[in-house]
Amino acid sequence: MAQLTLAAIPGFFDLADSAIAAGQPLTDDSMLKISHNAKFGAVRSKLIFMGFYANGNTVPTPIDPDDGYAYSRAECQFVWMIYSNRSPAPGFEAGQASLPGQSNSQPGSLYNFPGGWDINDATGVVTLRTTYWQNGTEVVNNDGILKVYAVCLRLSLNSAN
Amino acid sequence: MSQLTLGAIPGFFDLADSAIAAGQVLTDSTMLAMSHNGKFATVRGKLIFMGFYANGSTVPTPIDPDDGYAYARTECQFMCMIYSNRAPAPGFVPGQALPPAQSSSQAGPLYNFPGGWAINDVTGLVTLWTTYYSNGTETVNNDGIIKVYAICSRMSLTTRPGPPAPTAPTPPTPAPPAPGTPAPPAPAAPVVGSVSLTGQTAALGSATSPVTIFTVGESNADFTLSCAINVTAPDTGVLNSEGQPAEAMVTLVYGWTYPTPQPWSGTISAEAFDTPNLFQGSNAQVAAFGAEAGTTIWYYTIWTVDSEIATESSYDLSITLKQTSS
Repeated sequence: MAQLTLAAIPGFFDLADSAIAAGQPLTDDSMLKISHNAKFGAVRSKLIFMGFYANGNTVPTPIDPDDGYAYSRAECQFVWMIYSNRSPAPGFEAGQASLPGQSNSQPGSLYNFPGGWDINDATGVVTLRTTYWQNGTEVVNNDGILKVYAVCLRLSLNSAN
Repeated sequence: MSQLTLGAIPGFFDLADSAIAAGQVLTDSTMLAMSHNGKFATVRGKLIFMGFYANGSTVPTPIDPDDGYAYARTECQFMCMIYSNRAPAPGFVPGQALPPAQSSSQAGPLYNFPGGWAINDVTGLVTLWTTYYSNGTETVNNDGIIKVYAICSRMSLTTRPGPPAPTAPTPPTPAPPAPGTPAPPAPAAPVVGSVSLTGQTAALGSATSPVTIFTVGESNADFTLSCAINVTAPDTGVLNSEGQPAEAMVTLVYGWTYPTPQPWSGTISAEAFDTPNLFQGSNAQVAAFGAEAGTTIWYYTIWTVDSEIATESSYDLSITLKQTSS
């Protein structure tokens, strides 16, 4: 299977039905808009893998491999899966695509987990709070690793927090 | 970046290739169909942020910001991420967009987590079970907060009939007692409150007022509350105004209000569809809890039914409250 490739970034036009009504001349302008709308429909919605992230990292906005379109923050929402409750091992780079190593220890048994895990869709900032139970005491830190995907939708203002 | 806006909701037309073959007249209807298909493809698939939710909340269906299209339940599937194992702090509003504050405490270290977390795609009902292990005892409750997105696909029947809400985790069975003289059976816990209703209906979308089952006296006590509901809808294949199988659903909300610091409640739900062999629903649940003196234990129901089958649908309800210690 090959990668779909567009030579130019398509636009979208809310073409009025009256422009292509019976009795009207069919113009190249109308035909181009219909063509662009079909291309736009093909690339508008997308799930793009963003890599692995830890607390305090910022998930960037992606570039679409189809046509090089650079998504704005307002066009991206991030969904994630918990990869580990532990912090990354030394050598971890935010956004790395390969599975990261994790710390070889943790303070105790999991207690409040997740204790408020979120990616702010407006900024991309990752916030992780994890607590452990150690000798009758709750130990609070920012451990955790996420695997992140961006759900992208062109021409939208969909981020809410 | 701006928001895409359409002046009208586009339709979809399965245009035959023969309509645009060589030698054929290219008509305005063909051009309109192509134009609408391009627009429809643009708006059809979508992820829409729905906010933060806790147990017992119902995630609504979204309105598309592109063209104001109101999605049907069958066009939505919900995905969630675990924000916290704890209950929300006071002031939480289901569906709020901002990350909520969480409760400042929990019953103990996590044990069975998540213990059956799901959003029913058919109804939007959120069910969360979480257990903790402290001092050799598993404590079961409905703690948790999730961040929810709707995955929307127009003109699709993406959701299957939802299964009953997950049942509460069952603590491990204790080891059998050593051989010896059998212990005398424990006295049966006294029933201090019960409700048994059959063939119930109510006005569309109504919620009955809370009904008190029992009020704890001057001493703290432990209780078990067993509740079961069942919905019956006709099995004839009637469709609702959206062209979907007509359905009826009841949610039983039960809870107890402590003098301090805050009330607690749980829900179970059951639903039925008016389609032969599709789904006729019932559900049951048991909760164990300790209640302080003066606590009020109550219930109410929420009944929703498509108007096409409203007169033929009903639900049954039973609640039994036993006091297990005083």
